[in-house]
Amino acid sequence: MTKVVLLIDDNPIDLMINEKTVLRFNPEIQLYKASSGQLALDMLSSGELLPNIILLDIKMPLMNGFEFLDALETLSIEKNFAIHMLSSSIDPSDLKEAEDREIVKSYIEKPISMDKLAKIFN
Amino acid sequence: MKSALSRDTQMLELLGNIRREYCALLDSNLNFVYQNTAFKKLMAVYGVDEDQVSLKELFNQFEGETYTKHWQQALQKIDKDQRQIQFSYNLNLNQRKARIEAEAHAAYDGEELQFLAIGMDEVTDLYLMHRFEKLKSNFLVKAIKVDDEKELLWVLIDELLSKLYFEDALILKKEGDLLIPVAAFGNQRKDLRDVASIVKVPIDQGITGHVAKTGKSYLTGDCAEDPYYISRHFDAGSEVAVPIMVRGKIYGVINGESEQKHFFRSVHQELLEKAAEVLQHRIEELNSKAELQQLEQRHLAIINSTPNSFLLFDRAFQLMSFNTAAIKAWLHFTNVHLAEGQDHQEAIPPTLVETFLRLGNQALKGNHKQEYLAWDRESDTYQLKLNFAPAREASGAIFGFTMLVEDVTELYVANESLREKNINLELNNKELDQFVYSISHDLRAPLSSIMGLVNLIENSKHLPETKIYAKMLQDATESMDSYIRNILEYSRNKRFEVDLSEVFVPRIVEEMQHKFRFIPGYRELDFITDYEIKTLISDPYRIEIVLNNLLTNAIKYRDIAKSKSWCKLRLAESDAWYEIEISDNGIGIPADKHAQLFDMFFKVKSEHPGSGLGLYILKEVVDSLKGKVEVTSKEKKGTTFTVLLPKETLND
Repeated sequence: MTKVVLLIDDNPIDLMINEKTVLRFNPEIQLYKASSGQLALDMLSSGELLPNIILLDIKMPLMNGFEFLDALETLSIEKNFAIHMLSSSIDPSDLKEAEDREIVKSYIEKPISMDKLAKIFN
Repeated sequence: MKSALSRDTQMLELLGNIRREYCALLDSNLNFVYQNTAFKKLMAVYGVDEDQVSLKELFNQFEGETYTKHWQQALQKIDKDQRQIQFSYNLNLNQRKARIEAEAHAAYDGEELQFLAIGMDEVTDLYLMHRFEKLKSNFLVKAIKVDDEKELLWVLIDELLSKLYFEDALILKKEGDLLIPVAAFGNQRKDLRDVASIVKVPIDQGITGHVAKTGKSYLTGDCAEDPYYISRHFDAGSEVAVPIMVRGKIYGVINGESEQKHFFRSVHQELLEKAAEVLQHRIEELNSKAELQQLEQRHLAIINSTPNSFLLFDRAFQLMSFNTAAIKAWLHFTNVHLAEGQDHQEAIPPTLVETFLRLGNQALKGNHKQEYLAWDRESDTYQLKLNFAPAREASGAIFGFTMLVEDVTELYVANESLREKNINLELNNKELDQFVYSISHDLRAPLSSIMGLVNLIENSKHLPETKIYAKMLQDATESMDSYIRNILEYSRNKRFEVDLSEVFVPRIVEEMQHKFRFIPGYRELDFITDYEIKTLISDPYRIEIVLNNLLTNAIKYRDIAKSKSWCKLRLAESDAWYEIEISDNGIGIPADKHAQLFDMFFKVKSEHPGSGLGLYILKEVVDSLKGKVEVTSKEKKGTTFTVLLPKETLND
């Protein structure tokens, strides 16, 4: 069964890096990209996109990663996906908040790597 | 026989009544009937022959002598009604003053004098003692009015010592290891208040020295034989000296010398000791008084040295006392002349009366109270601190209260400014915290991108791909570089004082243009300068930040849609301000974003490159130059930033 992955990140370079790395890890993966939280919410609420895994950046303008999670909760869609925070932040408060969110499976520090992806997909 | 017996009995009775050292019995013609041995010896001293038998003849022989007159006067008073008389007189006995007490008893037969018994005692010692007590009283009466110690010594000489029949007397005062003659009479005295001898006696020299050293009085009847005696003014026959002790320490010596041997007897020593004691008490009193005055002076000095106003009120709220600061302050602030006994309604300004009575009543109950209040005078506001405290007697009973007024304006102002500084500091700290937080994030973001790109490059097989990654790497590092620069600018502006000098703007702008060559889009831009003035008095480093920020923004946010982009720098001045105006025909700023434009990390659009710090730093820099920054902008039309900087002058 092919995996569907959604990348949410406002930084185009990071989005590209993440895309390339994920595809190198597994070229079979179906990959979607959103450059803002709002865009991702739109994609999810359309019902056409059913990802298995979401890699979510924290620091984004207008709607940050945690605000995205808040907005997601109000969304009446099936949430059969694992969310992993993917951020360059090493702020302990960000880490703490990620841990406190039930929906968040893990917190991954940027940059993403094959090893880190291996942990997510197993 | 009966009558003869009766005569003898009469004579014996008469004689028996006379209990004197020297006795004699006289018949009605004043012829001696009997002389006791002492009387006979006394007569011999005066060269009276034993066969001299009549008192009348003695009166003739010693006519004119005081004692003769005393005797004649006394005997005249005797008659059949007054049969006895007692009297006393002074005379020179063996060339010294002697006091004689005498009495006479008469026996009458009817109108006729039968016998007369006479007797005498020398009472010199007793007399001296008695006289001394009288003189002492006189001395004390005068001494009480004398505050000067030296004068007191002279008064002792004049009122007491000179009246005890000494040839002379000298009072020496101890100073260091010397005894200094201070007061004297007799041959030791010169004028009214001058001592003849100014010879200072070292302690332990002569009799006075010896006395000063031992603290014990000393009497010598024969100076020639005395081991301590040193002849000074004349060869003395006898000498007496007593110490004057004050508070257990030797103060000085009273000294008497006589040409005669054995002139001084133990009674003189005793009298001088008593005199020294009288003097001691008076000097101690004087010292205590002086000390008390000194203490009072010290307390006054303390109270008057403070710039604070001190006022003492009694239980009826009447002014009892105040210090000099209070006098000045009251005159200055209320036009009231403070006076002792003044009622509080007069002394306390009406606006203060309520507070005064409230706190005063508290103080009278034993409470210490303080309160702050603002006092307006003309255009100034003074911050005053009022302290009220109970004033107690030694017993602890409250007899009034003190009011202390402190001008704490300076302290208040300093406190206010400290408070303000603290608030600023807190703000700064918050900013710094936020800054550190953002930096950790913002710096890490491009860094993690770089690391991600390096990962990609490591695993890439295709050269063209590598080139793209390298370009991205460059962008990420430049982004990080711009953050670091901004942070440096920010912290430098915060940390360095404004440093004024002449700033020649065209030169700065030329240098900038040179650097701008590499910024994309600069070459397509028309850069126009319009200098009404060229030189500013300001901080060159900060001017550079202002120009750099605004000019790079104009380049960055040019409108590609327009066929020709331009940016114009205009430099002008008004009366008080320099004007730096940078306008462009760029993309402009939406009206709803103008308010946040200078906020930290604010970006008009998130996709815009940069830190969101540029305009924040610009604002900070302009603030530190005490200037203003204004913006007018219209989306798609263009933006104009106007920076107004105050005209400064150089100090030297």
